[in-house]
Amino acid sequence: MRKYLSVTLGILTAIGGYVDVGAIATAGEAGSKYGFGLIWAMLLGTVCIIFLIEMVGRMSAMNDKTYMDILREKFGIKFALLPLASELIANFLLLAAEIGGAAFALYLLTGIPFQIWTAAVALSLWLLLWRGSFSLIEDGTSILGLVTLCFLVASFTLGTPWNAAAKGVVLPSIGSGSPVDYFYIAAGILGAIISPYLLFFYSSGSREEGWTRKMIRSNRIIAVVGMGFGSVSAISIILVSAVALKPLGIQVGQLQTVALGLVKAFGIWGVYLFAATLFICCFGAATEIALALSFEVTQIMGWKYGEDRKPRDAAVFNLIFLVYIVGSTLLIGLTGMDPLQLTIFSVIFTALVLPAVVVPFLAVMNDPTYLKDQINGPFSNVAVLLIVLLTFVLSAVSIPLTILTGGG
Amino acid sequence: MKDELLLMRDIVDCQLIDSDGERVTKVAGVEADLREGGRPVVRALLVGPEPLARRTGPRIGRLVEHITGGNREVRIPWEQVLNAGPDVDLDVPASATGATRVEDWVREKIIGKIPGSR
Repeated sequence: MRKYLSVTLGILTAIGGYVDVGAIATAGEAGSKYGFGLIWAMLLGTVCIIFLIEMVGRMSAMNDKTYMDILREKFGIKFALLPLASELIANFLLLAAEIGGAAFALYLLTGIPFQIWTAAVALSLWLLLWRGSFSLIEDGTSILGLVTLCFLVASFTLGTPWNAAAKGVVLPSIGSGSPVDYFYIAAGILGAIISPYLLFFYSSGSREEGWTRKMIRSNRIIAVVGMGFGSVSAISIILVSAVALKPLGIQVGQLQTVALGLVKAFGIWGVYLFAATLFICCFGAATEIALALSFEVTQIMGWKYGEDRKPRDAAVFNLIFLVYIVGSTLLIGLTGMDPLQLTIFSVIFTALVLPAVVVPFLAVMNDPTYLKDQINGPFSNVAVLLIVLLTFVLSAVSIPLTILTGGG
Repeated sequence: MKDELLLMRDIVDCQLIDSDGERVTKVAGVEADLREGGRPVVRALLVGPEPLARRTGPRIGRLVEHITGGNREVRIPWEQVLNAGPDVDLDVPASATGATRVEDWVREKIIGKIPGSR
């Protein structure tokens, strides 16, 4: 019975943790501009993250080290610096975007200025990490994340033309949009869905729970069902935006535009539901990203870490997320960047550095020293490698072109 | 201890664990003596910013040494090593090695001063 409970909880966590500000922003923009023409990117990203989450869980079940520990011990400090630096920059931008998203949701609800909420969100985020336990953070914020399913309900009440949507998946069309912008958003979707911080967060979380070989089957179910259902929520955002916004020629140029689809389905409640979804998803993701940053540094350096320790017993661990939360808040407050622009920028950057994180991870997943008889099969290796390379090429090509053409 | 140790596999970049089972840091380098006949013998493990930076390249190594003043290298004599591969186990507590300076400084000067850190 307890085993079923933990699998259920894991699935709920995966569904709740799937959608964040990056997914909301890119899915909303994709649906409003290209209708059903970018659902394929969401599906491809889902396949990749299912594989990656299954792998990282299997790694935790088969050995007692986290990915960052192995990265340093297997490849050495010089090699480990590139994935570490990529993650430290990408997650810094992403953390700022999530804090911005959560603050923006509260601004939509109350009308109190965004900057004030940014400070309030940052402070409560830090307090939760400073005093909260790992399971509180993992279960609490994630189960609340089921509110994202409101987009699924809306996609039904708005009468999505399912045949046309299916056709859009198989035969995607750019319509009258520009190819540069199309591939830029495709890279953004992939970067938003294949979030490397999830790898570090899962890798550390499953070690804190002391996973053993017995978890291998449960882990597979959690990865496939949880991430699968998570992507249903994210695809629903594309559907709702495609059905409600695109025919009216409304393009998502600001985060609140995504709410209009829900307003069409639920009236004024749509605004509240959107704000709740945005706040919970962003706040939940922010806790995971801030912790992932602390895990990454302390594990690669071999220092003490642990969210369930008293802060004094893991001082550097606690200092890292403190510094990052302050830094991210300053980035939003001082630059006055629009939350949507910051989000798109951070997911495109994530897409660009993805190979640096994922390729060494695949090398570890094929090493019997750590995986024993449970190393990767050829299919999952090739599938992940191809999707990650596609993501990299899309972002590497579309970033300079977008800058040259002045879009974005 | 294993009969055969590989320097890069079992020691360098491996996790240092102290006598309380606590994580200390990862091994940044080793110090070896050339005995008569030119045979190298490991004398100590090195940790700290300088040996770590030297491993990433001579220029970064010099830069970090310039910043730190070159006195942040910590030697852990081989006599304190209990076991090596896959982790390196010590028979002394972390506080006795001098390798926890960063953690101690952050605890005393920053984290310990914030309410609720205990």
